[in-house]
Amino acid sequence: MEEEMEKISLTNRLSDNEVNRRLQQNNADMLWFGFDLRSSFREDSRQYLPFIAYLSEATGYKFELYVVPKGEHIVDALGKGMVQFAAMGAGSYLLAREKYGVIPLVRGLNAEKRAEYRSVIVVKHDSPIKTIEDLRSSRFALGNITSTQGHIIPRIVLAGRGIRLSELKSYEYTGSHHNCANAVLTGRADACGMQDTMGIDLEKAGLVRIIYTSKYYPSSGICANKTVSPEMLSKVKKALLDFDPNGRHAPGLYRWDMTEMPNGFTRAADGDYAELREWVERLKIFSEMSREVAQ
Amino acid sequence: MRLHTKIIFLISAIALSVGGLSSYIAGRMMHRELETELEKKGAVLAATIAEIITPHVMDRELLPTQDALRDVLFRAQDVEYIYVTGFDGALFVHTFERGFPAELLPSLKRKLCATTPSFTRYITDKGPVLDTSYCLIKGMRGCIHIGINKTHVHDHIGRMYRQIITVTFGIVLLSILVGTVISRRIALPLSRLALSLEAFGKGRPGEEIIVTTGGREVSQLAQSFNRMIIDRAKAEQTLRESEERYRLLFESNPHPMWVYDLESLAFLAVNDAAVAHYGYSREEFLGMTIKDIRPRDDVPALLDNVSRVTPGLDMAGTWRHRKKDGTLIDVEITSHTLDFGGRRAEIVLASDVSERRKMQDELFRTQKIESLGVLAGGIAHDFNNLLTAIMGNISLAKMLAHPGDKTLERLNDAEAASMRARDLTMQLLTFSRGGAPVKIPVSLSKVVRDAAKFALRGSKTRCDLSIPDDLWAIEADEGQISQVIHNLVINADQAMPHGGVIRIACENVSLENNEALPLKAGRYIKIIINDEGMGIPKEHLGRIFDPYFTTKQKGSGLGLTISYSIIRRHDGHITIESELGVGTAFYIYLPATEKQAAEQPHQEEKPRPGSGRILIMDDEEMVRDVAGAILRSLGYEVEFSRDGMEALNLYREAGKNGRPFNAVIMDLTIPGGMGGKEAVGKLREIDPTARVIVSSGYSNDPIMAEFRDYGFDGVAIKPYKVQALGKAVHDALSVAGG
Repeated sequence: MEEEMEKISLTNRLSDNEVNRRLQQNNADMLWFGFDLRSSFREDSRQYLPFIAYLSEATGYKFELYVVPKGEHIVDALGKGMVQFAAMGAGSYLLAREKYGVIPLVRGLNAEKRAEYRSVIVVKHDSPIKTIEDLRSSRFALGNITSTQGHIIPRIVLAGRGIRLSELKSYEYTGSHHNCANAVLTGRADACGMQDTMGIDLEKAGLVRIIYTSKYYPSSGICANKTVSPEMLSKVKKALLDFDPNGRHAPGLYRWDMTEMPNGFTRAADGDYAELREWVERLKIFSEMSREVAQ
Repeated sequence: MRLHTKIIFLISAIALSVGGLSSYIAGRMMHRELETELEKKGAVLAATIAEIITPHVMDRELLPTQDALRDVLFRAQDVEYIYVTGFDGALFVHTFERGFPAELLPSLKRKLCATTPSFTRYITDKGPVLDTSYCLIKGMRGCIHIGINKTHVHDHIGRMYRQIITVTFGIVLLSILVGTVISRRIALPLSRLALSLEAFGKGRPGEEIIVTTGGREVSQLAQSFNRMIIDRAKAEQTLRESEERYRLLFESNPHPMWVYDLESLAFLAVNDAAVAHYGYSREEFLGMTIKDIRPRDDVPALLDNVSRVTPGLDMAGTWRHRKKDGTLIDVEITSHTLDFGGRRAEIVLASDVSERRKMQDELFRTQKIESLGVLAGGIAHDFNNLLTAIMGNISLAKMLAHPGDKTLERLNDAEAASMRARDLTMQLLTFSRGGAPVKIPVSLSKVVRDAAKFALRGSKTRCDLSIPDDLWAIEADEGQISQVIHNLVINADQAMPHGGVIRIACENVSLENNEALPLKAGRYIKIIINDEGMGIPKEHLGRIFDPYFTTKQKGSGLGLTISYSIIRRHDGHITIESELGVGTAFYIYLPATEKQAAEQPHQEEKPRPGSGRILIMDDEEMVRDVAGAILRSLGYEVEFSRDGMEALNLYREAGKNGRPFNAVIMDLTIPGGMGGKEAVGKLREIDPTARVIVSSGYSNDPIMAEFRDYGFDGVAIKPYKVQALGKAVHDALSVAGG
C-alpha cells in the first residue's frame, strides 16, 4: 500500500524575515533560559534540559534552552531580552547588572551548601612553582574572561600579591576551566587559576598541585531580565528556591552534582556581590569583559 | 462451458493472479527496500551535516554553514533542499533561492526536533520528496531538514514494474499455450468418457473407450470405466436372472403367495397359485385387503399380528382363510418384510395344511384308540375269563335243571345277561391286540339289513334302506361290521327321540389317488347312514370318535370309537357330517373284493358227548374248573395245567405212563408263563400227532382266525358254552380219528 504523502508546493516562497516573524509569533509565549558555558554545549545542555523541564512544570511557563556561542555572550542575551532568565557566574552578573540592570534571583548552593565559591591556582605536580610570587616569570592561564573562578578571583589573588597580568611572563584566556587545566597539563601554561572543585579533583588524581586557594566569594546564580514581570519573577524565584536536586527532583537530572549549584539555591541580592564588584571595578575588569563580549 | 475451455481459463486466471500478485509483491518489496535505502541515506546525510554545522549554528556563523550545505547539494544530486533552524527556533539557513517555501513553514513551528532521524514524505511540484529531519543537539531547538527527491526512485520502480509486467504477460501467454495443450490432452478423453457416461446413464452403454492421451490417470479412468461397464452389464444380467428366478419362484410357486401393503393391508401382487387356490381373480385380489380372506372373528388377531410385524422372516403360524366360495382352510403363513416399490410391504407364502391337519387328527385319533385298545384288551381278557366261569356254570346248571322248572327260567335270564356282557367284552376285545377282524367275503346287504333291524327293535324310528342289487362284496368280519352298523343306527335312533327316518344307502364307488380321503385308490363300498336328528355341534365333530366322548347321559363313549377302529382295521374310512337342526350323516368306505360272499348256514346244535383224555391248560382256575366240568359232563376225562410248561410235562408223563391225552385245550395267553402259541410248537416236537385246541377270549385274534397256520386243530372261544366247547373237542378228535 502506498504511504500517505502530504502535497506541498516548493515554489510558493516567503522571505526569511517573514518566516522568522511568523516563527516568533508562534513562539511568543516561550521563555528562554540561557547559561554561560561551563564545559561544552552538549554537556551543559544535557544538565540544563531537565532543569528547565522542572521549571516549566513548577511555574506553568514554557521554558526553552537558549545557547550562545560563547559564555560571555549570555550577558548581552539576557540584557537585551533574547533570554528571560540565565544561569551565570558572579562576574557575568556584575557585568550584566552594570550594563543592563538584570535582577539577581538566587545563588547556587555548593557541595557544602554554601552560596559561595573560590578559586585555586594549580601547577603541574612537578612544577618548580611553589608560591604566587613564583608566578611572575610563568605562563599563566585563565578561563573565560567573564568567569568569576576562572578570571576574576585569580586576578584578585594576583593583585593581592601586587602582580599585574602584564608582569607575568605571559597569560591567556582559555575560555573554560577545562581548557585552563589542559593548558597546564599539556605544558602550554605553567599555572592556571580555576574552579576550586575541579582543581581539588585534579590534584587528587595527581595531575596538578594546588599552590594557592582563594577566599570565598558569592557563587554563580540565576538572574532575570529586568523586563520580566514581578509575578513571573515571583513564580520563578519560588520554583528555584523549591528546587531539590538531591531529593524529590533528583530523578531525570543529569550530573547536577557537577554544577555549581548541586544543593539547589538560596535567595540572592545585589548586595551579596559588593566586595566582588569593588575588586572588578578596581581592576577595571568590566571594560575587559565588555570588550570581550562585544567581540 | 466446455472442460478444456474451463481449464484454459483456469490456468490463465491462475497465471494472471500469480503473475499479478508476484509483480505487486515484488514492486512493494522493491519500493520498500528503496525507501529504506533512501531513509538510511537521508539519516546519514542529516547526521553528518548536523555534526559539521552544529558549531557554526551555535556560533551563528552563517557562511560556513551555507558552504557546508551547498557542498552537500553539489555532491548529492538527488538532494532537493536543506534547511536548518537555529537553537532559538528561528530559520537559520536554507538552500532555497529567493525565499523559503511557505508550505514548509509548519515543519519549522514544531517545538523540538526528533532526537533520531524522522521522515516526512511530500509530493511536491519537483516530484516526490523524502524529508529527513534531525536535531543538532538532543533536547534543544536547532534542526536540520534534508529533502531528497525520490523521482529517480519512482522511475526505477516504474521500470522494474514494466519489466515484471512484461515477464508476467509472457508467463500468462505461455500458461495459456500450455493450458491449451494440457486441456486438449485431458479434456478430450474426458469428453469421450463423459459422452459414454451420459449414454451409459441413459441405459445405452457405448463401446469400449480407448484412451491414448491424457496421461496414466485418464487412461486408468477409462479402463476403470470400461471395467465398470462390463461389471455393470454382468451385474444387470445377474440381476435380471435373479429377478427372473425370483419372479418364477413367486409366480410359479405351487403355494399361494402374495405381497401386501403393511399400511393399507391391500394386496399388491398375487401369484397364480393364490388365484387358483382361493378362487379370486387377480383383479379381485388386487382390489381386496388381507382382511377380506379372513373369517370375521380372526380379523382382530390378524390386525394385532400385523401391528407386531418386525423386519425379517416371520413364521406367523397357522391361520384360517376363507376362499371365495366360503370354504375355510387352514394355512401356515411364512412371511418376510420387503420394500415393494417404495412401500413397506410383506411377502407371504401360504401353505394349505387343511388336509394335513385332518390326517394328523386322524393319526392322533388312531393312536388314542390303539392306546385305549391295549387297556381295554387287558380288562376284557380278565372279564371274559370271569364270564367263562359264569356262563359255563350257567350252562351246566341248565343241564341239571328239569324242563319247566322255574330255576331254568332264571338260568336262561342269567345266561342272556351274560351273553350281553360277553358282547360288550367282545367289543372291548376288538381294540385289544387280538382284535384283528376274521375276514371272509361278505355281502353287506344282509349284514346291514339285519343289524339295522336288530338295532331298531321296538323303536319309533323308521329305516329306509337303499341297497343296490349289484353291490360289491367285501372281505370283512361280519360280526364287527354288523356291530358298526348296529352302533351307528342306535346313535341315529337316539338322535331322534320322537321318531323319524334313518336313511341307509350303500353304493359302489371308485376312488382316485387325489381324493381327499386317507384311502388308497380302488373300489369301495360306500355306506351312508343319515338321520334327521338334532345334529352335532361343530366343536364336537372333531372329537366324535374319541374314546369316552359322549353327549348322551347313558352312553359309554365307546360306540363310535369302536366303530372307527373296526372300519380302520378293515382298511376303510369313516367320516361324519352334521348340521344342527338338520341331521347327521356317517359315511363309511370299505374296500370291495372280487370274491363272492358265501351263505352262512345257521344250525341249532346240541351238546355232543364224547370220550377220551383231555388236558386243559389255563392260568385261571375258574376257567379250568368250568371247562373241566363241561367236558366231564360230556363224558371226557380231564386233567389241568396252569401253563405251557406244566402242560408239556404232563403230556410227556402221560405218554410215558401209557395214558396219553387225546387232545389238549391251550389258553392262547398265559401271563408270566408259556402260552398256547409257544406251547403248541413244543408239543408238536413231543408228539406231532397231538390234537390241540386253542382257546381265547380274543375271538378276533389273528391266531384264532388262522389257527391252523399256527399249528392248532380247533378253536374254543371263551366264555365257553357247552355246545361250542363240546363241538370244538369233538371236531378236533374227529379230525384225529378221520
